[in-house]
Amino acid sequence: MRLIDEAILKESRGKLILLVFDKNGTRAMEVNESFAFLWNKFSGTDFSTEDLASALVEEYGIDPESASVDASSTITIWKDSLLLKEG
Amino acid sequence: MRLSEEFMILFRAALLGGNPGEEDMKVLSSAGEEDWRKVAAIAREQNVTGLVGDVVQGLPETINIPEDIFLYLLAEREKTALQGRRMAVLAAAIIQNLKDAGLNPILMKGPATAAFYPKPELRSYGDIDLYFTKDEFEIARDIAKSADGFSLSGDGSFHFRKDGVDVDAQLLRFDVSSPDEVILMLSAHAMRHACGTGLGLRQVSDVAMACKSLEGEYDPARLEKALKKAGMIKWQTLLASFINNRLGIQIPSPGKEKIPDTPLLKIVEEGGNFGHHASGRGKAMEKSVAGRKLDTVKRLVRKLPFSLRYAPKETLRTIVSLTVGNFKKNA
Repeated sequence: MRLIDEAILKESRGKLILLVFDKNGTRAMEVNESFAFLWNKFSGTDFSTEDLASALVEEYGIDPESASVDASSTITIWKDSLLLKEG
Repeated sequence: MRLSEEFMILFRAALLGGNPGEEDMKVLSSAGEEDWRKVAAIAREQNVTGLVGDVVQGLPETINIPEDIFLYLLAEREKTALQGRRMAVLAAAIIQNLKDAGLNPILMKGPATAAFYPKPELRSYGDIDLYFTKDEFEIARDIAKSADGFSLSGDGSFHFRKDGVDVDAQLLRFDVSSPDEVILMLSAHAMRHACGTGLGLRQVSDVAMACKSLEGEYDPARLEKALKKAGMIKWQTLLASFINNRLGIQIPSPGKEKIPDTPLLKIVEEGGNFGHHASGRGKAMEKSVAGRKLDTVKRLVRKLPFSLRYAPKETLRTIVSLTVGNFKKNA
């Protein structure tokens, strides 16, 4: 999997905001800290659900099972929000 | 659309490259939802959403901005910056290609003017304008013939597309090698729009930013002499009055007396982005050539009291060239 390139993560006025400029137009969404962490870590690289889970364990010290659940739900959000590259 | 106080505070801060001052922050703090919606609408109309969005993103959280307006302006800021950086890279590549072919193109208008702003990538522009000296113009045209979308215009200028961006190339008819001439050219450009299709705030701020950036490099006395020769003293006095009063940038005024800037304010508020937002302009492209010509004449006639007062030489030249142009077509 790979994240789309046409997006920028910004911190402004105490908020983390993902701005997407793709073929669907311009979108802006407020995201949380763990979303931002994963986005920054995996932008521009290929990754798997397991990579995301490992990163969450390392960064937040959570147990592997919870990390795996969080990683899966993050990927679902990315898919639903068209933030993953097609193909 | 009337330029609101809140909008002008943000626009001035963008031009000066900083945050609004303490008093201005008080005004922004008391702004309501409608005021913020107006800020976004004016910024869009004047095509300065990138500049305004840049200031908005740095405002403290205590200033209450409607979420959708904040996100819109933030997105516009980033979109403009991305496009601006892309255009700058593209312009540099085109110039390098032409230099490799032994030519010396001069970059003008959008990309050249953007360089005068604290954050050049936020001064939006849609195309790249190149100028060539008489010796090089035909050689450049021959080189460009193989480019995508090459076309020639009636005035001899040519156009092509590079990576989806329009490039306009024209013959350099005047010297722009000194800072005085750059300011003169930008002022004349703004004057022609004020007297014709309409003038936006961005074109006025281009002159302000050029004067600010080139301060100490241009000679106000020499500029005044050139303005006098071009019949632009009254115009420049009006422009300086607007810039000094409204943009917070002090530029020398060639006129001996202070004059109110309201005639220019009216044009800027009506015009928006190069007049593209003036009443009825939105439907202009749907009209026939004859219809569009009639609209142009109507606009020029409507502006005659302003044009004759502030740009009499230019107005006379325009009337003569329109008359000659029509005479030639009918002959």
